[in-house]
Amino acid sequence: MRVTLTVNGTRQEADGVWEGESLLHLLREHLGLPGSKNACEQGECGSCTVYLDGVACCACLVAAGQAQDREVVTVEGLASEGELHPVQQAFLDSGAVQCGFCTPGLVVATHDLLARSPDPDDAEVREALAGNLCRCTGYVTILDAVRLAAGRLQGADEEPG
Amino acid sequence: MTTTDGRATTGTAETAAGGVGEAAGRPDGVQKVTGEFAYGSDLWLDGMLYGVTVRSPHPSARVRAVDIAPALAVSGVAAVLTHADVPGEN
Repeated sequence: MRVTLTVNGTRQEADGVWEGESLLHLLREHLGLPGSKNACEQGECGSCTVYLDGVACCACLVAAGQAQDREVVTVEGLASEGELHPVQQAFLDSGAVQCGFCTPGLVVATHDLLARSPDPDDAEVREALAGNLCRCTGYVTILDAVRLAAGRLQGADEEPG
Repeated sequence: MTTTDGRATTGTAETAAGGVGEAAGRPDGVQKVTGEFAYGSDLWLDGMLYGVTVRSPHPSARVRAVDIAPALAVSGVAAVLTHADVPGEN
């Protein structure tokens, strides 16, 4: 079947999509966007976290056909004009990137959290990132990165335009 | 002690960028936070074959025989590898 959707602001069309295919497979194998990672394929690990119509979800749990005419944003769509998003920069500056396989999902999940709640407390951060597993177990620095990103984003908001 | 242009000095060389005590950035960090870093599962080549591991569905069972003929008969299957393909004693 053919699936037409908007990915990172660009209208995309994929032919030959199998009815049972996931959005994750569509992104990775048809549209050449391997940033969303394929790990558990059952919504446990969060490494494929993307936005679907502005809501963060596991791309492995969405059928490709369900994304028809909808808007998807992946980790590849967060940096603008070569400049890292503050969440991405905070992950780098906090040493929250090790093997990096969980990083794209965590970056999208953190981006979503801070859009909804600019100054989350630790319990809220843990809750928001509970669906993203890091097998390097680098959670301490990941939480540092979320706090750093939150502070920087708030600082940027407070600066006079 | 001062230098000829009047700057104070401690007698040690000025700290060079990237020296001891300075946090070094990950060389692959930007690629990893943007999703550009290619892991094994992100590589793609024309005509690439995909492998699947088939395990016994029965725990603690003894595998007495493996019949690969039906699998080989499936269209598109390039090879079925078993213990017999591993060199040495198995």
